[in-house]
Amino acid sequence: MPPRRIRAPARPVNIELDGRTIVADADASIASALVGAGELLLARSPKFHRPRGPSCMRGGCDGCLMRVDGVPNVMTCQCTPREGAVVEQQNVTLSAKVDLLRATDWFFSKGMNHHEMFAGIPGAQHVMLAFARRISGLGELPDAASPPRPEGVPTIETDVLVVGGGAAGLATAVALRGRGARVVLCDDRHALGGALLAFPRGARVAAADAQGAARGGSVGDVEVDALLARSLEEVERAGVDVRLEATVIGVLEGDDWLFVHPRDGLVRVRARAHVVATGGHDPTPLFEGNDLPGVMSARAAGRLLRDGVLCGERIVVDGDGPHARAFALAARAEGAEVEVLERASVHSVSGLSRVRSVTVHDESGRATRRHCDALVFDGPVAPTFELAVQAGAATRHERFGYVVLADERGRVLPDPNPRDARPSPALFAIGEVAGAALDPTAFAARADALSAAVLEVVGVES
Amino acid sequence: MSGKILVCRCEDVTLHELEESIAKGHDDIESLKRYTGFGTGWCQGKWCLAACARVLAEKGGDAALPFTPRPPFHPVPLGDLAVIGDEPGACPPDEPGKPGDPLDH
Ligand code: FES
Repeated sequence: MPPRRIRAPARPVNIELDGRTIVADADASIASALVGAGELLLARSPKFHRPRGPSCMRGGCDGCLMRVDGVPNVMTCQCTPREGAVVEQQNVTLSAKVDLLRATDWFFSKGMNHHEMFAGIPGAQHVMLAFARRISGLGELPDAASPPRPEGVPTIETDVLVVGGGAAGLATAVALRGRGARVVLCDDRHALGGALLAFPRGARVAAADAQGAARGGSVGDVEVDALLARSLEEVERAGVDVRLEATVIGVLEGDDWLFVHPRDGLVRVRARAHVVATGGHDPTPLFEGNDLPGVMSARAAGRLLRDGVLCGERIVVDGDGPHARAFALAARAEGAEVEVLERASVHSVSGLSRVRSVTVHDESGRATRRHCDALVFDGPVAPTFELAVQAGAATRHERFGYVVLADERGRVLPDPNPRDARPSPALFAIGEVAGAALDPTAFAARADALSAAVLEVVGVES
Repeated sequence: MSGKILVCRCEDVTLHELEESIAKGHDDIESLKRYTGFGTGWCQGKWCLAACARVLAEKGGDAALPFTPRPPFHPVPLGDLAVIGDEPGACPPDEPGKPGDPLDH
């Protein structure tokens, strides 16, 4: 069964997908609305034209790229719909469902090594390259030039810039305000909460989870929505300058960071200290068909459920973690048949344009196959280290990704060989980006220590 | 059904290609990225880097450091970036293209 809506949109708006009208929720993403209408195949990959669907619901993959109102390559999981928005598939050669160029996928069965493709065969190489250039790539040019932006980049001056409005960033912003610092908090989504919003509504996250225990933390027994409501209220009361849909895209000078906002364009934040609370990217499972629509992270499936969309009727969950557990519980409560794999690993998923079955291997290597609509995976996240490293942070490689190194008070250790030679003068990191497991209680305690350290550096005169 | 395992979705790089490239001697993260093209697509490594680094480390390669993350962290329309040219101090006109200018790569 394709995914379906289990709750009507709270603020319905109509959008159009390839001529069909779909009711979306003005407060949820366009991608959620499409999945809720049974559409998982939203995009095509650039070389092989493989079918792609949302994998992260968090702006970290290519699974939801579409043309929206004449603008190509819009990450539809990161933007909310307006009434009458026109959404189209891009990168297809016949119709959305049947892409002729899919044949390239079967033709190049192991991959396409452009270094050696027909190399040495006179003529063939050039023909092949020309062909590859024509079929590759993403989207067509926009219908119209983008409207001109106001000249220059506006600057916001503040004491501390906190990047990321998840559990760690929220706690940090409140703690810093408590000590008298002016705080700008940027988050790239349309609502604060970060990975907390990847728990289905009503989720309780019960005691010490495997991921937390393994990394020396626990989520504790928390009612996620209550916790979130409390944090948002604290942020509001504390007078944090919150910027939503503000995607921090880079570090321009040590203390000049830039964000982009869909309406305001580019904005500069000039702060005396920076706290990176950017969380983590989804883990990437490696098995055959790992890019098939219907394979998604537990965080993505949880975000969909929060938006009132269930990703399938028969769901296999692979990997452990608070999001997987909360998702499995909530999906069962909605009537889905959920199997959580234990002592077995996914060998492959198959299906032509979306997941139809999954083959798992048990401990002895015996393969069994079950039919399902979705494969939901979870595991330790890969720290979102990019901005911190741009600002001069040192990292350590772990199995799950690159951890930003910070001392016990959250101050980031500088990269001994900084790449752009302009480290931020006062750089701090907290939460999953620093390798901690998602644990709001632990983050709050750490935020307190961190804010004291930040204040020592910026010395706010109150 | 083709049995591809993707290590990079945005650029359609398969595990098979990645392992072959490592075996050919592209066994540090920057050369592996340049040779296979992983991490150069839409997500700029958000989906693929950790997985590729893990495979590289398992094969005995050097995955100690990530490849250099550059602005913009997230795709931005050129029109939004264009204003920066008018900005005093953003890219000083007397030092065009000085190395390390994040908006000049
Ligand atoms: S970027 Fe939208 S689903 Fe991953």
